[in-house]
Amino acid sequence: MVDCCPSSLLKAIFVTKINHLHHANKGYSRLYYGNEFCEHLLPSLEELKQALDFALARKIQFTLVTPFLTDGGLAKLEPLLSYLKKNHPMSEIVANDWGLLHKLSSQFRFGGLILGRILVKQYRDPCFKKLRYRIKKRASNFFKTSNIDFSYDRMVSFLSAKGISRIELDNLMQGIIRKTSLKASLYFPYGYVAPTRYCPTALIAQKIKSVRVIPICSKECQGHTFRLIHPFVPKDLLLKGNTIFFKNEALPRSLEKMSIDRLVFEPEIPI
Amino acid sequence: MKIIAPVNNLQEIEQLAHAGADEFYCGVIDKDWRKKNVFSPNLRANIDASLKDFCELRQVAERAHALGRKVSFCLNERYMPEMKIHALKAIEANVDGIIAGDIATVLMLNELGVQKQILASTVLNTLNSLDLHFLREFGISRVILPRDLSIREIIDLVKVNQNFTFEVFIMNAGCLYVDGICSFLHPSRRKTIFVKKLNSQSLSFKEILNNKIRRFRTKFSGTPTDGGCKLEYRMFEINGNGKDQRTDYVLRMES
Repeated sequence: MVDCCPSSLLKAIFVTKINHLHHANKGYSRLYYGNEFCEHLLPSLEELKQALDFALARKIQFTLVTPFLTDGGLAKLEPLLSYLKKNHPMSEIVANDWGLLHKLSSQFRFGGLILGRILVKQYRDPCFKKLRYRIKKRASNFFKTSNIDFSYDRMVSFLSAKGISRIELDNLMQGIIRKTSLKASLYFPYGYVAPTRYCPTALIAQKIKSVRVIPICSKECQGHTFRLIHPFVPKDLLLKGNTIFFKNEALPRSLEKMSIDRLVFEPEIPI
Repeated sequence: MKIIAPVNNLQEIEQLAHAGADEFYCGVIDKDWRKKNVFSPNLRANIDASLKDFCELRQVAERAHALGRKVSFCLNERYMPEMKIHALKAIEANVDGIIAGDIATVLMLNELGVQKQILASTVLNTLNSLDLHFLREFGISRVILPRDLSIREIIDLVKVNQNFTFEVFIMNAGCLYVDGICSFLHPSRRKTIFVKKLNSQSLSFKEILNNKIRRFRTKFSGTPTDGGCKLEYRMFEINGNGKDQRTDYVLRMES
């Protein structure tokens, strides 16, 4: 991956499991570590320390990725943030929860505060690519644009005031159009379609028949990945843990023109 | 405790009020919107679930006010520039509040100096106390909680945030994905995708693929505007040896 993208891009690697740090070999200047979709998969303090040591030893920068959070998840995240603030204040934080972002921006900003891809609304369903030919150009462009880009200066000013200088984007099947110069990272090759708190993987593993139960997590997601197939869906979807993903291995052209200056490579589905 | 009910047309108001509804909420998909947009501004994918125009909205507001009820207007979809006109028309129609589903929409309403109550939509995914503090910054004190919060989580959240008014859904659309984060396709115009009716039972999986059928309506669709989330997916476990193994499960997220 490292060789196939423009040299001007900063290359980061996103690792979600501590025993998969070996993916972060030469060529990457930043390590993304953490999870976006499930608070049960937040790393422990020990794991965070290991990831930080790994990044320090290789002289690469560090970004902690955080998920959307309940109050329980916030309590679990607190010691990680305190440790980072005290020992590695130049680390970046990717926030996928408005409340967390608000707190971080008002209390401590670390090395950088980033608006995660959960808070950036894009139309990620791979079906859009299939439907494109039937949709007017204006609407087609709308599918390629995030809510941040559509709100122009209003949202950019708001984010700047919060100390957010970067947003995270998925590599959409239908392409991407940017309308602001706010810096962005592009996640590659996996994009998410939809997470659920009624984790299907845990429901299957625990043989729970009702789908209206939030199962007790035993991290079943770490052992199972499913391909989801339906004849009307043009691209197979992938289910890992509580989230459905798509895979798009084609990088858009002219990333620099779209103010995308960072590529976040996902060596595996980020759960 | 108040009961808040959705309104699809003017005629429903009296019936719902008589049945015990204390407040109403609704959205509008008018001709202007349909000409320019594929999506429903209120995220109610079935076009019949919205009022037809702002004239009807005005009448709904008048009738509700005559009965001593309030009406909130939904802008649940992610922000798009046309929402500003939509919001201004709703204010002119004398609604009592606007439900916003995107922070960019909240910013737009604040910028307009809207004097109406702004409600945080369920799609803002307000899960924790910090989210509530964040919303307070915009003058929001009424929040519609996500459908997937458990009763325990709701109790805990409400207990420590007594200065907010909360709404919870007892009527559920059936979708199990996180409302505010799901990006499955839910277009509002039937013509866009779902035109030709098919009896998918009469076609085999292979036949459908070979025929490259692009217009569809499956037996899994409850309405003509349902999205990919309501399809029934065959599940194959990925083993890593290149041979995916078919499981006995199908993923169908509609309960």
